[in-house]
Amino acid sequence: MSTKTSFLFYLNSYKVSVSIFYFVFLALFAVTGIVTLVVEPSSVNFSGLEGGAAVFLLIAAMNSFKNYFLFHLQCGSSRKTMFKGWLSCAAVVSFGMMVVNVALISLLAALRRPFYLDMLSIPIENIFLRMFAGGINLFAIYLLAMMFGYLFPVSFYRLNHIGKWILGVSIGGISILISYMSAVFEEPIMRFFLFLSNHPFYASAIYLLTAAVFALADWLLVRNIPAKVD
Amino acid sequence: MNLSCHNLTKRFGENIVLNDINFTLDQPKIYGLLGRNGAGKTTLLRMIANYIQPTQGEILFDGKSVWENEQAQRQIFLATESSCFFDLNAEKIIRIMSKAYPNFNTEQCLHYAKRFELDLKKSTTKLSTGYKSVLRVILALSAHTPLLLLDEPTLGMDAFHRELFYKLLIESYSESPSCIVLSTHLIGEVEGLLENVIIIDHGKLLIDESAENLLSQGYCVSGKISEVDDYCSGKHIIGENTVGGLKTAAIMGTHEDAPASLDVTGLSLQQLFVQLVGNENPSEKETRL
Amino acid sequence: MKIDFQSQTPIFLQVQQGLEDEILSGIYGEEEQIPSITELASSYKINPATALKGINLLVDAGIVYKRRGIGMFVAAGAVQKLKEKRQEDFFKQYVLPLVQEAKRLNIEPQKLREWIERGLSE
Repeated sequence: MSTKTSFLFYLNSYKVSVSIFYFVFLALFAVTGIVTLVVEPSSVNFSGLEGGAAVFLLIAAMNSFKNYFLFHLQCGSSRKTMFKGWLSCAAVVSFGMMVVNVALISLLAALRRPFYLDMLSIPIENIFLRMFAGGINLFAIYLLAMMFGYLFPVSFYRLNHIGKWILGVSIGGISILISYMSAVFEEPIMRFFLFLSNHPFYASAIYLLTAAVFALADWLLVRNIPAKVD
Repeated sequence: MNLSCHNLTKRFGENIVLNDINFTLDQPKIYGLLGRNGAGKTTLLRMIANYIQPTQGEILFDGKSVWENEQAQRQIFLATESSCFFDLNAEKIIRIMSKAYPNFNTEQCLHYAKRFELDLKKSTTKLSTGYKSVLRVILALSAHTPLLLLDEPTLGMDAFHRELFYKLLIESYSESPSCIVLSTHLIGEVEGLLENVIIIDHGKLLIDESAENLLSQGYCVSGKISEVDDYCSGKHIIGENTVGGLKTAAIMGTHEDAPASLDVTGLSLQQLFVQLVGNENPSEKETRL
Repeated sequence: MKIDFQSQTPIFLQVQQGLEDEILSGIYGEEEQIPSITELASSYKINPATALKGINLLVDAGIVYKRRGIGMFVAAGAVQKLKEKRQEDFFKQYVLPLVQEAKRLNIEPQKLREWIERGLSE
């Protein structure tokens, strides 16, 4: 498989799940839309689109390794080609979902429905510039989510039984540690996030940089990964 | 096409699966890769096809390592039980394969599918073991790669499908000879097809030579127990079998004048294989051949 | 034709002999086409190279000939040639051992001739 074929193959397999995601979103939107007609509008808060898409991409990326890897080998592709195909797919999917989401958000804003949307709270006067900044921000977050999500199946695949336990436990440990640390260092963390939300371009740069670090980690793990027999 | 393995060793932890293997495949011939379960056949094929790396030694395809070498891998097709085809149906897989392998013949593949009565619309995960094998072999036979690795190609196939597979394999090989490595336990079914035989036992390369040479190294005699014993004394016997008063002995060496009362036949590859690797004590084998 | 993988006779010789038998028994008449290498290989599950080796023996002996792009045909006069060849084989395979065994058993030549006469009339 060439990188192009690999890319198209990945993209094609994302088509279905992305469609389902938007179908669910639109269904929820329709329901809340009806609810707001009945119930007092201020009591309805609907803000799932931006964050929901990030979580969706994280999980989708977690499912984008094993079978793809074995299939690429069956097709005579190298790990390098597969990774290039995956990277370009992740970039295109992140960009595509960003565009769709910005469009949907703009639509919601135009409808003046009382929905809370992160993007609209970016402190930039000009609405177009604000949309632009928000778009870049979303793209960076989506890419970050995908690069991070991919790390899980790849590292789990490389490890043996004991390694999986160690990694699983340490992930749990780290997340407990983080929640503890965030309680201790609540103030600087809050300040950091405030800074991010006030400076969307810096935030995007930081997200992209982190995504690049994860992508590098992904590649280092994939580079010589052996295929296992089930 | 030239594939050569140099001092190939593969270890999984403490377990030595392949131990210092050396051989070369450079002719459009049908090779039989034989060995008992766990002898390391599949591991060897998976190393050639870029699935895993050797612990020591190297595999060269036209002088370059096969590892992560796409130019080489496009000329190698491996069909094995763990081949992964997602949950796609055969039609889609054929379309992707036609992009992946430069000489893939889509029309031929669809024709083969029809002859095997393979449902092109059915997801491969829902196919039976036999039909999964069918899918693998029709892809393999349509890929027209200079090197074709078939690992237990007829796994789970019924007798009709097996016969059809051998027929198509011979047809395809006659039309465009390529180097085919056939790894199978059904030696009796393929022994007429094999030109060269590679036998791996306990991770070591035991035999690598032409089937003709190999089989001419031994013969069988059968007759009355006492007469067979008389004839066999001082000869290199690799196996014997007694049923009632009739004894059959497999003997290595060239056939010398046997008394007319003894029946002399050739060795079949299956017999020879069983005798060579059937020993429960591997250390004894060193002295043979 | 039947291929016996357990026979002492190599497979390519079995192919040669099998085809000779079929030509002798008239399954393939003179100037008629015989099966292609691929057909032989796939119907008897043997390697095409082996089938080719067997057929080449027949080509060399002038029993069959190739027509480029069409296939292989039984040569004119092939049956006669085969019969002559087989007659010679008959002498080596049957007559010589018969005479040798007769000498070992002290059977008089006259007696042997009489027995052959008897065998012919039975």
